[in-house]
Amino acid sequence: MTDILCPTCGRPNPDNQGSCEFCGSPLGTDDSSLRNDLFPAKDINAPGRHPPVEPDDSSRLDDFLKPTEPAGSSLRNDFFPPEENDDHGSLEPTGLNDSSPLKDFFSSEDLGNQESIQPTEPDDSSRLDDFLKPTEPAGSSLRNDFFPPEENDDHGSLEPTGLNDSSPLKDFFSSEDLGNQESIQPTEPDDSSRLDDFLKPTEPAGSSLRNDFVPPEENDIRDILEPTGLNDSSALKDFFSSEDLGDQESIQPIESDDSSPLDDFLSTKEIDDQNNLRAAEPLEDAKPDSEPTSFSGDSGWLDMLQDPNSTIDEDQESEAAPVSAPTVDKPGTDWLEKIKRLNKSADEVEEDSSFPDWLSVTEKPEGEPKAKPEEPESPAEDVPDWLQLDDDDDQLNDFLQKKDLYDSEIKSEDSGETISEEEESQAPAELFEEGVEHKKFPSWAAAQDSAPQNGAQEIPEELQFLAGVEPDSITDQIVDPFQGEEEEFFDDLFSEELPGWLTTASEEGAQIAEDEISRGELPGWVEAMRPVVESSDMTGLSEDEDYIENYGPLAGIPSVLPAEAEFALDPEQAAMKPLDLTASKSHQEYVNLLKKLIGEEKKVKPITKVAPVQTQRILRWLIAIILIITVGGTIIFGGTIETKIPPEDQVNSSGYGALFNQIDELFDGQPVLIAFDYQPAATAEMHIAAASVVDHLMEQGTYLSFVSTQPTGPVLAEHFLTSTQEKHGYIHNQQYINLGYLPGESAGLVSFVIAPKKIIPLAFDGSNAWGSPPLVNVDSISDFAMILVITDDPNTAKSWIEQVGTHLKDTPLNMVVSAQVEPLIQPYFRASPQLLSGYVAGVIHSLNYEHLREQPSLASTAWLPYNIGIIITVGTMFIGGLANGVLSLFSRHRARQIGEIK
Amino acid sequence: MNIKLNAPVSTAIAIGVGIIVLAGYFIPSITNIRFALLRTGLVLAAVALLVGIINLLTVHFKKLGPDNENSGYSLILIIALLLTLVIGIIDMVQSYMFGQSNFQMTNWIFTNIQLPIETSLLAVTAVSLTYAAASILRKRMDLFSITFFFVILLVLLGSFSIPPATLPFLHIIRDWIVRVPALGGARGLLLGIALGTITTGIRILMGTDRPYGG
Repeated sequence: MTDILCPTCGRPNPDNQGSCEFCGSPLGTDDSSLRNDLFPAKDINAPGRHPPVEPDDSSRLDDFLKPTEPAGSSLRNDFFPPEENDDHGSLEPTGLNDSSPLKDFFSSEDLGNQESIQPTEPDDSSRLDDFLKPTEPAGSSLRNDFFPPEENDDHGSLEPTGLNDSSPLKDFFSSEDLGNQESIQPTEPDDSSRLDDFLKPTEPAGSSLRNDFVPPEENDIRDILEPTGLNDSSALKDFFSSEDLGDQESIQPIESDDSSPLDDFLSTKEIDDQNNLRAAEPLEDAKPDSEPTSFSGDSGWLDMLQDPNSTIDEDQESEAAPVSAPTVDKPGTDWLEKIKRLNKSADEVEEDSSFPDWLSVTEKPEGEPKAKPEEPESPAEDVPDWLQLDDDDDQLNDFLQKKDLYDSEIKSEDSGETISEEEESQAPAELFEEGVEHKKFPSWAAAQDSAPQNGAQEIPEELQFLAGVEPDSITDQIVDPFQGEEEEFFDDLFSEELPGWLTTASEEGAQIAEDEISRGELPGWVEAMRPVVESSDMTGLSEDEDYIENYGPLAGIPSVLPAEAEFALDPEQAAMKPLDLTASKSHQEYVNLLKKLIGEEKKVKPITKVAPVQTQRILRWLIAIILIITVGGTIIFGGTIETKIPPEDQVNSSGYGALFNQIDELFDGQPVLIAFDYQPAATAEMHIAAASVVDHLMEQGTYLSFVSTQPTGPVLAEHFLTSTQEKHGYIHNQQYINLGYLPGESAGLVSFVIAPKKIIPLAFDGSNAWGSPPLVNVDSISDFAMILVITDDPNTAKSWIEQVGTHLKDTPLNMVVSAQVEPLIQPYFRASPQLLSGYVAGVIHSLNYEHLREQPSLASTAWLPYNIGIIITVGTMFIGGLANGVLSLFSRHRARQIGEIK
Repeated sequence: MNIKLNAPVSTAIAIGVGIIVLAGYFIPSITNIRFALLRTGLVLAAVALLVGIINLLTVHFKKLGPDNENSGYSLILIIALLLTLVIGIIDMVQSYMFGQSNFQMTNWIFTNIQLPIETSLLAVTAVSLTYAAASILRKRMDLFSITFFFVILLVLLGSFSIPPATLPFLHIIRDWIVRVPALGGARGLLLGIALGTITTGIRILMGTDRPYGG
């Protein structure tokens, strides 16, 4: 004893059960398919039938094509007479895909009709199988219902044409075509009808799918058929007319009326079915290897039902479809049947027409047989996405189970009713007329809407009409057959329990809707809270210059920063507007502090003299007073002191010693040139230094010629003679001559070296300078017996040495210089040859010179004050330097301490 | 026709005269030319002194007026200059006209006015130098300042020579400082001056340096 799986809930039931213990659904005797219960067993062994490849074919399209009722009380019954079900077995291997939603749709549609007509026991696990289940236990399909046994034979041979099992829609169409091919005559294809094209008889070129479908042998049959004359542009009419074309063998006189295509279709369909059953011939001779190449015609509203992508992929897969693709029963797919049953029984055919939103859900089931290895050109991965079954298939089943339950309730009410043919036929017609406006796919299915564009890229042009790409009408006509009439029904369903995927979709849609609402409107309570102040003018400026927003959500709110520049505002008035600032006490303190700082910046701070300036001045005065007192006192009250005679070695190597020897060798009357080139400020030192030397010269009786490169030199010479050599009583022009001032410095010296008489022809007093006897023979400077330069300037000494000393031959050049010049003239004295023969530098050399002469002079007189001054100066410098040094150290130490503290 | 010959003419004159005077040191035959140029230069230098005196008078005459607070000093300078000039002219006239070449008035002015003033200024300089030497360690306490300070003390003490307090080693130190470090420094200074003078002369002769303008 085996258990029978419930086609509805999938639970096992005893085989003796007529209905499911769990869900109450009728159980078929055949476990594999409800179809077996629906179709009589005799049909399975019908003569001339091809052996069923899959006796429990789960093809949904088979279910869809299943006509169980002998006399169609419904459209489907008209479509599929019982006689046609004999061919189901041969049609099953055509590759109908059980998992295809489309096939499920059609199967469910049929099941719905079947249930409304006669109670069946859907024991088949596959709903599509149930739907397509023929009366024969061998299983049938809608295609079998379409086609007479003859067609089925042919149909079996047509399977290699590439019909893909996984594409139920294609199977549907292919089955449709196959079912009609026997009775199809070579009609005059109507350009406006796709179905005409679709059903167009085979031509030698074989450019259409129909031609591929129909073997040449069928063309004979088609020849019997006359053109239907379908010229209606309506796709629906085309569809029906195309179906009619399959039956035109017996409906030749029938002229399809454009105004009522559905009537034509129905009428012709009945006749066709009957004739087909009688005159059905085996289609085994039909050319099986004909491959569909193109669908150039309008295939009607069913074309629009299918997803364009599905059509495309269907065609593509149909090329690689096996001849008899095994179908697999899919349990739990009888919901379609129930839906269909519900729709049919509830006299909601129109709603049924808009039902299959899930047509877009095309995920391929796991149990679905894949492409056969003998046809590698149709790999499984070529299956388009839309053909892949969603994971929500189970949820969909659950959902449809609920719908089935609901259906059962309705069915109880409408069980006795039948759907009229008009109502049946009006559904697709209205669908087509409503067009896109009625197209309402669920969100999960709407996502597939974008597929046609992608799919169009992969589709041959001749097949694009199936994909909804080529003509706009086709795209527009791909309308969800589940139209708005059924929305109320689904709303009721959705109101109870929604599957997860539907809940998500509905929530998303609701959220989007809420967003749209929230953007456009303000809640009422917000409007109520808005302070509305009417502005005085259009600019938004009231009399008190408050800006009031006039536009946007802030309209009516004053004191809002305007988005646009306020050119109308008067900056002066705006500046005069008092600020309503609330300053706290701390703020006031900060303000006062800032004002104080700014006020202090404006004050002029007097620069106070630093204390060291007074100290310096006092110290300077103190030093001066000490020096004056000590030196003056020493001069006044000091007298002379005896000094120590320098050693002989020191004298011989010294300048004063050399000078002393040179002067000491002069004799009376020799001309000596003395240059007084010192400044009056150095008179004291130079007089002391030169007095002894000049005195020595006068003692030797030399003729002195005074010259000076300084303007004050001639006067200094006179002053020197007057102040120091008064005792000698030298007379001008007799004992000495004051040549005066020699201009031009170095140039004057050079000129004077070359021609002294020409350079200074007159003496200082205007007398003839060179007229005195000692100077008569002096034509050049070398004619002087000695040249003595008294200077306190090293540059003057250098000029004399460099400009005059180089031209002197035997004339010695000597100098009496101040102590500061000694370092600079000493190199000329200690050079070889000597440019400077001897010199006396300062008071010390003069004192030594006096020691040589053994005649005290000014140096001896000035020696004590000079030494006192040196001592005072050294003492002052030492004490002051020591004190300042200590203070400096202290200050540095203090600075370091401060720096460390910081 | 206005031809600006200032720069090229003056430059040519300066270069030509310089070359001739320089060549006169080595070529005895052109000594006369050299001497003539030098004499011209001496006259121009004397005239330049007179021009300078005139310029001094002009400047200080311009400074006379109520707007200038130092106009009194300018007035004193002008009076002193003119007075000295007048006295000098008088003495010169007396000397040249009457043969009395004693220049008594000029000597008196020099001896009693100019000489004490300039000497006093030099004496003040002595006090200032003393103070500066005493405060040098306060303003700069480093090795060079200390060395400078003690060298001054040693040289001054070495100059000190009062027999009972004479320190012979200080004299030796002073003489060593004067003869060795001071002589070496002076020679180096003189060599530097000589090189600078030669370079300046060459630049003037080449016209690169034109202190005369142009």
